[in-house]
Amino acid sequence: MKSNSHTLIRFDTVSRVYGRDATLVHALHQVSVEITSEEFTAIVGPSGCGKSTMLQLMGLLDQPTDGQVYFEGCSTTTLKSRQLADLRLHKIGFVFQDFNLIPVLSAIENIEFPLQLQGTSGKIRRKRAYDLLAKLDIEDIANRRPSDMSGGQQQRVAIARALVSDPVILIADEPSANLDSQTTQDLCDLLRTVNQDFAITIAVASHDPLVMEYARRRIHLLDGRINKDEQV
Amino acid sequence: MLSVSESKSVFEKIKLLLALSTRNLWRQKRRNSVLLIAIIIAVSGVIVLNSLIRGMQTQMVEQAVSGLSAHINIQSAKFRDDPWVGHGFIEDSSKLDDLFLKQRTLRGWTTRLHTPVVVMSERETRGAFLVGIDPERESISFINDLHIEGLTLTRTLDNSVIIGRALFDQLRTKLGHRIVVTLQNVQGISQDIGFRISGVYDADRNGIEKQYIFTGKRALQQLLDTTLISEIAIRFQSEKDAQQAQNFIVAAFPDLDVATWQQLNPLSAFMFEIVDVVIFIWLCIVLLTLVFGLLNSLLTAVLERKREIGIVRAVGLRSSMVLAQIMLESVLLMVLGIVIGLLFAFLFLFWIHEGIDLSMFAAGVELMNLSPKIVPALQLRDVVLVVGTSLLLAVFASLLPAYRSARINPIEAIRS
Ligand SMILES: Nc1ncnc2c1ncn2[C@@H]1O[C@H](COP(=O)(O)OP(=O)(O)OP(=O)(O)O)[C@@H](O)[C@H]1O
Ligand SMILES: [Mg+2]
Repeated sequence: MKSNSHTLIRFDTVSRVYGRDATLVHALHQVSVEITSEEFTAIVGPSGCGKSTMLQLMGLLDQPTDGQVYFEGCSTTTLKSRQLADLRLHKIGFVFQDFNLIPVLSAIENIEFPLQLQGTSGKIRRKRAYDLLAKLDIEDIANRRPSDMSGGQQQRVAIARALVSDPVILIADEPSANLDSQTTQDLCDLLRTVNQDFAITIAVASHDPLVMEYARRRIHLLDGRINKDEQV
Repeated sequence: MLSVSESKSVFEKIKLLLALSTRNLWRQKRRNSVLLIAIIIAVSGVIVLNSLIRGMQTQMVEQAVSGLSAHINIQSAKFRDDPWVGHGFIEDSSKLDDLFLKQRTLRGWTTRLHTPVVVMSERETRGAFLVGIDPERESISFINDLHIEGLTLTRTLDNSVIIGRALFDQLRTKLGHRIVVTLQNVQGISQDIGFRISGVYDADRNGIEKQYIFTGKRALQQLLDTTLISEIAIRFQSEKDAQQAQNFIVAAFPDLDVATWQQLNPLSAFMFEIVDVVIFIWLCIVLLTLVFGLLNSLLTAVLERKREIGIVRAVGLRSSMVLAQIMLESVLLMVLGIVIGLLFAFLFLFWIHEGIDLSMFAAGVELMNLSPKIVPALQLRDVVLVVGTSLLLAVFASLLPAYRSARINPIEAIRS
């Protein structure tokens, strides 16, 4: 591990319980784990083991029912909804399985969206969005709406949007679930580039062996607990 | 205080909200254009109808105050009770001049002598009122505008009469013939006086034609050997001026009964009063139905867009911004509808600005003291009321949908 890396996210005996009484589900059970900066982590495990739940807690979309989540050293339990929203806006990039983009906005506008929320001026915004499009090799679809893009293109635009505000971590929940193997391969290459060249931490949940191949750390979940945590 | 960069960022956010709202509206073209059309119809319909009602209202007041009562009418209390010439009062011309010459809001004033009479022609007998007028002062009333066949009265000393068409027909007499009126004179004695019919007038209203015979006031006073008058009628520039002057006039004539046109025409006054209420109620009914359309559409939209709202929340849009965005959609649609609706209303009102003829329903219209032709009167306050209420209701209709959208939990939205 590089010397300048530091702990980005720390779970301290985190539990997340859904429902109550008869329908009670322990999605995560007393999980303690650390995500270090510049890691490329895959969270793997069978369906329902708690991968999405874990990513949502990391991404400050959700709050644990028990335990603490520290983001860059700070506890997040006491933060208000708008503070969490602002943290997500400035520090975290999300990519989901599908339907990631805002349908009424074009590719370039989708990418500009977080910057616009941050109040970045039009010129700077557009330039940064175009730079990213170029780096991700999708300049030709800049003005298309999501409905006119392929699944792979949509995911690339989603990644561009997640990266545009220089987040510290990119969180991707099964980003390749709806993609064919070639597109998945391309996506994985892209994620590796993002991780190595942009020096952005990546946490990705996936069933896909290919995605697991690319990751340098794999956290195996089973029934809401960490089964195995391996570095490769 | 906002710093420069902060206000710039607020500006960027507003731009973003506007873009999202307009495009989301555009996305549901069919649904929103139906709503837009409904708003346009409602707004233009309300504006046009309000203008017509206002036109009727104006006309009603005009009719009332151009009648013999004018804005303010002064008689003796006894005369109101029993209109006998002996219940009249002495005209103090210098006092009236003193009182009224300085009044800038005054349009004019006149004095008249009234008496109930029995009219006899060579063939028929009818009851009527004989009114002695000063023609030079009657510009304040309808008398000056009457269409007259034959000769009109020009001086207060004119001792011929002009008579309404309806009464003239009933009496089955001819222009230039003489009629005899029987009345009780100041001494309380029955007195017959002969008059020559110099003119026949046509009034908008049948009632007037049957009721009033006009002659010169001075001439009538001489015939009755009296200096009494029955009433002072005062006309102001506007209703408001009349209201302001009322107390002052009451104080100036402590021994007489000072009545407003509202007191003398209670039906017209009532109609005048309820017009505002009618307009408001009708506005509320129309706009409330719109609110439900808007509410329904917005609720559906929020439901449909649940997932993408979840995405933008995950990316970092604050829930207050989601709230604002939905409200903005509602307001934008309403503003567009208002603008187009007003445009249509103005065009239509311009087209009918000379008035529309309601003579088909004239019987009913006359009952309300109206002439069959209604000239629309567009009032700024009605436009402001419609625009203001619609905007308020647009915000109101968006409250629940906006609240629901702001409450959308990004995790659940993305999972579903
Ligand atoms: N909102 C919820 N309400 C109730 N139960 C939930 C909710 N979200 C998740 N769960 C349950 O929590 C457990 C973990 O869910 P999670 O989505 O984290 O699993 P996952 O590993 O992402 O599965 P998959 O591979 O299918 O995406 C599951 O049993 C799921 O049914
Ligand atoms: Mg999942």
